[in-house]
Amino acid sequence: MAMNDSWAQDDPTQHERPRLGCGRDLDEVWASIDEPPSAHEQHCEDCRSARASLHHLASVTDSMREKDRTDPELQPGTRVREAIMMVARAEVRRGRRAPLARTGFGAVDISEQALTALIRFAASTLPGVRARRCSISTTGPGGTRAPSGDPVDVTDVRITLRVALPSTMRIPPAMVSLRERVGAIVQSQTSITMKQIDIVVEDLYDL
Amino acid sequence: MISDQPLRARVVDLDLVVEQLRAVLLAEPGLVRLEPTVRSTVQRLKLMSVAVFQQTFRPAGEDPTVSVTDGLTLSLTGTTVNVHIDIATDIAHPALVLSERLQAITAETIQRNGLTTGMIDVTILAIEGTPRSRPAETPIEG
Repeated sequence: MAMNDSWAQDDPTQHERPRLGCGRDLDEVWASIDEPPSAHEQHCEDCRSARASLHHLASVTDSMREKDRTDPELQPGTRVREAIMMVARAEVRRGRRAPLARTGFGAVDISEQALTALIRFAASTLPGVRARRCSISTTGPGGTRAPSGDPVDVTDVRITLRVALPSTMRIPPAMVSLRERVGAIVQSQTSITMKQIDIVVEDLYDL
Repeated sequence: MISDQPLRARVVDLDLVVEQLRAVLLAEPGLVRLEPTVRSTVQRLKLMSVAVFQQTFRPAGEDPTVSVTDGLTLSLTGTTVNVHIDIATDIAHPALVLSERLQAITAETIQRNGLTTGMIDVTILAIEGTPRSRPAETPIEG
């Protein structure tokens, strides 16, 4: 396939672009490689040769790509796949992010999972309280519920915490202590002041 | 003869900076571990395979632009380094305060290596601890 680079002297910005002997840009020929040859391409020796070479290149590339897909040597090992899947599953569980601060260095945020784990931990520091599920909700503008992919709005954190208590525990004072404990620990760890802490006593257990 | 031409700063090896930073951060009380993420894991695998290619084809003296280890990603543009840190912290240390301290330590480490600090973002992915028994407290009984 005859190539010509004399055109580059006329247009220095086109210096790297290869052209055929007939003056056509090789990229132009490549762009129409899947179409039938034009009238010029049917008669031009340079274009015919270029098309044949490009067809060969494309078929070799396709064949190599296809071979790579099934080549056992190029597949990730079981350990690599397991490591990626383990991290992927953990990341899905971590949920949304809540922005905590923006310092002079950059941003600090916390995952929703870390926040709910912290809340459950805070609840279980109260003797007798067994923390169960915890969910966090924030409302969007106008009181609508924020989409699940959005970051948690830290100015409007509302939680629902489900707990089990000993059957001998007096529930009203326990709820006051629990709210104080959860609020204080979350505040000291993250600086988030929760707007609403709903507690559901879903079970009583015998001591 | 001493040249008065300013020397252009150049990173010898960003991987060394990331390893040094990792050691400095993990020595900080309250940091349980640097957490791997899909992003950092895939990036690290990608870089490992690209590194083999670059050993042959990268022009001599060209700097690596991204370096990743579990929970720590450094990207270099010119002499400016942007950092992302994913952490698990100990409940005994306030997570936000610790994160801010880690940002400062990171900036200091980067500057000590003659580089400019860009953005240093921290994500808290876990706060860990076990409820300690409080002998003074008893359940509120009716």
